Amino acid sequence: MTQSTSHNSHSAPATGPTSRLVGILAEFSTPDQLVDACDQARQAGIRRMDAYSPFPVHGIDPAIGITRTRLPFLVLAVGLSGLFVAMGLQYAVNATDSIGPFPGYPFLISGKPLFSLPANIPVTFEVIVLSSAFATFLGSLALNGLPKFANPLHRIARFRKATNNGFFLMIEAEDPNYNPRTIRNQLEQWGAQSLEEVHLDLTDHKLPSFVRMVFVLLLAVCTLPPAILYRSLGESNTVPRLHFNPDMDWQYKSQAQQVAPDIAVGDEEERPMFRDLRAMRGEVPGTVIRGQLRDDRAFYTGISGAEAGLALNAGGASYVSIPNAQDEAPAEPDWLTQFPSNEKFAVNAQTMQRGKQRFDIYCAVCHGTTGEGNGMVNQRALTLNALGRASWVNAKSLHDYTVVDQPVGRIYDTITNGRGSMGPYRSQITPEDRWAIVLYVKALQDSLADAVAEDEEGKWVPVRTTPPAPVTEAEPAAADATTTEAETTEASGGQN
Amino acid sequence: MHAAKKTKVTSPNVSLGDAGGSLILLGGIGGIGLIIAAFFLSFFVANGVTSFLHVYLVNFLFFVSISLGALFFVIVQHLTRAGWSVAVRRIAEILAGTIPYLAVLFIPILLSVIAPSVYGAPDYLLYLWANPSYATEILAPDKVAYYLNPTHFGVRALIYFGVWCIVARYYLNRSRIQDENGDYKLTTSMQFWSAPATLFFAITVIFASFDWSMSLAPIWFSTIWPIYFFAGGMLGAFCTIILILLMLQKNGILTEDVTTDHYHDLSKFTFGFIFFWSYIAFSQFLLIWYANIPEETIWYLPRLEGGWAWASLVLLLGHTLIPFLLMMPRTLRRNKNFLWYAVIALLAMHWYDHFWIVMPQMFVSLNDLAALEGVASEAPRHIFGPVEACCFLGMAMLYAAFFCWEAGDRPLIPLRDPRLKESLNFKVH
Amino acid sequence: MATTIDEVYNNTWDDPRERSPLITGGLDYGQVTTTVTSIAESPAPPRAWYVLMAISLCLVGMLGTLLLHLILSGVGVWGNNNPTFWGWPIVNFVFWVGIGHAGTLISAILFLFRQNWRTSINRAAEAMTIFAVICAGLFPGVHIGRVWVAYWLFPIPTEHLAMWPNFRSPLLWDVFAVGTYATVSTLFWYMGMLPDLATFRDRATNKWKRMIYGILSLGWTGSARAWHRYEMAYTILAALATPLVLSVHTIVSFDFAVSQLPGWHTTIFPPYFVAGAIFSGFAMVITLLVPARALFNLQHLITMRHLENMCKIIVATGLMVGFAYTIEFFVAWYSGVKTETQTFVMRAFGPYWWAYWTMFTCNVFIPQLFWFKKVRTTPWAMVVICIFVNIGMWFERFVITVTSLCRDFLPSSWWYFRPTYVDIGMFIGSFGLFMTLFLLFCRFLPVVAMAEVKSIMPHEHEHEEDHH
Repeated sequence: MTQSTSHNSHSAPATGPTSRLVGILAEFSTPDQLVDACDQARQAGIRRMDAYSPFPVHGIDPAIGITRTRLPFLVLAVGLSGLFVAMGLQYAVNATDSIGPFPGYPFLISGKPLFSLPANIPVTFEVIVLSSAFATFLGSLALNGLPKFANPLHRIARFRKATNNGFFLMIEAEDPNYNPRTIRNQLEQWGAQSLEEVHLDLTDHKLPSFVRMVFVLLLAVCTLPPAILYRSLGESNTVPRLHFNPDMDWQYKSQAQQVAPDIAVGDEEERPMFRDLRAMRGEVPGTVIRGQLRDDRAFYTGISGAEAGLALNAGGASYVSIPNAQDEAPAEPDWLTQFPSNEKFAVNAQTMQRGKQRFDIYCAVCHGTTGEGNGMVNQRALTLNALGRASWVNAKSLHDYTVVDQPVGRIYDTITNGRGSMGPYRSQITPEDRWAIVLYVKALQDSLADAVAEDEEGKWVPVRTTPPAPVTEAEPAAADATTTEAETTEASGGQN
Repeated sequence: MHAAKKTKVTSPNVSLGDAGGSLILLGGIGGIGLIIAAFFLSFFVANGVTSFLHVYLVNFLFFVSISLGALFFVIVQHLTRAGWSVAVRRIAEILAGTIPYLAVLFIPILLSVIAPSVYGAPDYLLYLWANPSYATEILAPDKVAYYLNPTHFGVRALIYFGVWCIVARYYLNRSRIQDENGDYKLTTSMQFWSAPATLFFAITVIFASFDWSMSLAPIWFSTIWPIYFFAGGMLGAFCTIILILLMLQKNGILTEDVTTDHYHDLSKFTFGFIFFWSYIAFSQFLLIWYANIPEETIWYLPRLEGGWAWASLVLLLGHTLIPFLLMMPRTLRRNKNFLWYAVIALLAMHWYDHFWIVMPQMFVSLNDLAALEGVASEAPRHIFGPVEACCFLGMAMLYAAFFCWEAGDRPLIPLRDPRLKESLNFKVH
Repeated sequence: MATTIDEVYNNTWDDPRERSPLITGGLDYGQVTTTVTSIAESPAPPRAWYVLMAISLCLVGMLGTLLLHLILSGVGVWGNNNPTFWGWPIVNFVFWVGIGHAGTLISAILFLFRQNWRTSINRAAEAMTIFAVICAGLFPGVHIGRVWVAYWLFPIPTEHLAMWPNFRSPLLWDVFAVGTYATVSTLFWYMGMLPDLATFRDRATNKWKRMIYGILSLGWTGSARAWHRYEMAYTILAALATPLVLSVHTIVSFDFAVSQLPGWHTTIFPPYFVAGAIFSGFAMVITLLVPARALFNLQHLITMRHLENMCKIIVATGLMVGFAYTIEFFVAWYSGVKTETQTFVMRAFGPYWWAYWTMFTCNVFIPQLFWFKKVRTTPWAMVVICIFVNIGMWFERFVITVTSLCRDFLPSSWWYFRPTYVDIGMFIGSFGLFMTLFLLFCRFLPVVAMAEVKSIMPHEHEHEEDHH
């Protein structure tokens, strides 16, 4: 199978000052002969040699004296660091508030803990495999000294068979047992078919300087786009961007209360859903939506008597408490002073529990869990106020006498419709829950009473002996906020 | 440098010889004695016959899964025309050949299912669904009528054991006949039947795993369950084969023919099945944990609460992480001294896996039953105790006796298998 | 040596006393080289190559046009509706990712199992894997709707967006799994190709080829030290790729199975998806290699035995898939959960009965023909069956995705899913992309791993039985 005639167009280059002898290359016809030759060379004391074959020849490693590579340890080390990187990344991204200068992303999604091991295993596994695979690939190349394009062996025409069907052994000239006179004979004895000296060309083959210049320039140019991108990341721009496609900036949509086509999308006209130009149907006259009858008006408004009907129809009682333009003191409606009682609400321990729970969800963030007006949002906002980055109005302490003295209906109305800068909670909290909160607020207030005493009916009631605190006790912080918002709030009695 | 090729078995001893007889006697008497002791002990230190039956089931499942793993090993070697494994295949054939004896050990379990409906015996012995009042009140009527009832359970068990016995005995007997006459056509026919055998094996193991261990929690279901059962069994089988080979070689049997390379390959498969078991266990857990549907989480909740949370952690570390890391290095896999410890530890973990599946269910079932009857139940918590120890030791001794009985003084290596030469000269590169 | 194959030696005989040869025709090392390199060295490829290339390029053009249309108009041009939010794009994604499993399976798992027959087919299968993964990545890539912000999928720090991916989402696991799989498969493929690229370099006759293959082969010489580390690296990569290949389709199955939707949420999904992936992957390998070996005269290297073995794997994995269908059905009934049972009954007898039974027939019934040796050794029959398998596996993903979604928990939102021409066109177009890449690969890169084939050939002259 081997054709061992050696006519090369450029055989061994002339030995001269421009080249150096690297070693001698011998060709063998079968892998077994190659292994045998390696074995004999090793027995002859030669250590600096290497064999070349088109495929891995088994049994050659001990013959040449190749020790087991350390590649597995490298891969293990990189794989382990992949484990820590992946875990750390997931922890930092999903379970912390910030990662250095960047904000974190700590959101509870589908009820999973922020850092939940089972859900973090898949990504960790993939990162370990990815990093180990790169370590294996790059590590094996590095250990093999690849890529290496300048190799004196590639100048030998016969050596091209090494990737086809040739089996070669090269003994390096630098081996202490390399004897230039006897080595040829030895190799032929060991079965070599042809021998050739390998020379390293010492002439300067550096790239022309202009090529290197161009290369460096290209590299520099390549860094520009990422640099520009990075610069523009944090910038804002007033010029509208180019729109190759709508990109969700314009969408076909009908708004709930829309009564006329008011959105134009390009050339197209936004079509309302119905012939009367509305996007939604109104209620059918003479009907009541299921669950919306609200016949117990006092229960739903906190106002007793005829005014309640008025308040309900107007969509809330707030009309009575907002001062009009002439600064006339508004007439206070007839607030409920006793808790209502119906099938939805009753004063008992269960309701109190419910009230506490709702209070802690909806109210405590501003008013604090004890109602002293020091909730987390409030604290944070005051900090921002101090930095001049917000104009927050201090949340009202529920133990303020202005609040303590309020009838329950009034407190209910505050929750329903809001007061000052406190927004309405009508849509978030059901009426019975609002009453439960009122109940809890009352209990909170009583809890800070100075003493208890028996009243006329023989019931124990809380008594306050300390003089009423000034209404504007909490105002200094609000005073910093010089917006009209703050003024409105003051006028309407602060945040209740 | 090319070592001379071996062409035939060269070990001085290839069979158990006389040692087998005394082992059978010791194992048989001791085993039965210990199991009976466990039964009586259970009345003093545990929850009576219910506890005993659960512990018994743990051990039964442990040994039957090993034999089934060995059976699959044998079938697959024929299916893939494997050459390397011939030298160790007989051990697996014998392990699989013990299935008929294991069928006898199934009788107490079968009785526990029949007893409540026939004799009106205690409400709850082993399988909650065998309690007629529970079955009618809680379970879907179809499921009780067509699947989870004593008659169907018994008939199915009969089919499973029937199929396994036929397949296991077929492979063991053919292989032994070949020892006598060296007819290579026996191998051809064994190979021919390996494909249908795989098919029947798969069907029976799927439903056996549903019947015997998944139905302990009668309303719970998991489609991956058979694979979980199978993966554990394969791991157990590989460990048992390695352990038996180590013991045999220590006693001067098969010393020349089973080489480090065979151990290397067997432990590679052990490593593979550690990973596979973990993969299946994790998949099952993740899907149920993530979807968080109450009817599925009921199985994991009792195992992740109280003391059982620690027990689950032991399983995670001992069945997955630690063996995975320890079995990875090639040098350790080729080290017989290491393998002794490794396979014993892994077998312990495999046993523990079944313990973890079965035992918590007993308390869940007792509580469920108490709730059904409107009684407050304080089911006793469970730790490893004398009942477990006696029952395991007894069953292990019986299993050893079965193995020795089947091995007899016949060869423990297929002497005239046409691919034996390939196996004797097998080298891992 | 341009071999013309007159008579192909049938090496599918099965005699326990003797191993049948893995490659036939009595080729020596040099002939193996020429058989493979002649494809790339011949001045012009066969005419069929041009015809196929022309068709494929037309399909790629169609794919490109439709992609442009999709990106400019938005994903509304697909048939996806409410409640079938995942329509064909996800079906196609899972289909292609599944096909992309055979390559790594052959080169990694069969390598670890020392199945030497893999050497003749692993290169082409790996290439196919990478091209299939490219096709797969296309669909979720454009399914996000705004492709220009696709980088949001990756954990890239930005200050003003204040946004990171949610690592607890299976969809993000998918990004990592498919990304890792594509990268590692490519590394594995390239690593395996290094010695063969060096062969191409050393045989190149013109300067450009020599330079290009020279750069690609990184100066490989085949030294024993390099081979030693190379083999170690290859083993490690195989050991890494084996769990990786399991994990990829497992994670794809998690996309479905971590939900609470009946028909999606079932614990057997991970292994069942993996088995299905192997099944479809091998079917695609046969579909491609049977014509390719005839076209490029590779019958001595990719022998009948190789094809037969693959047929056996197809019938085995087909049965696993069939078992999974059955277990799902059984457990749906066993669970006693109404929605679960209902979903499966609806699959088989509801509005999509035709899809279900197409799937069942193509995946479970038709491959049973491979029990017959005659079928396993008739190339055209294999191709026909394998095309059925591919159709069946596409329908499997369709059945899983669409039938579960179109009947969700709210009967008011039940809706029948219909694909649009964009759906259909993009799916067909993806075949064009796949074929184009594969045809280019056949023409310019080593189709068979020459070095690996040579290493399992019996050494000449001596040690006849000594094949490692």
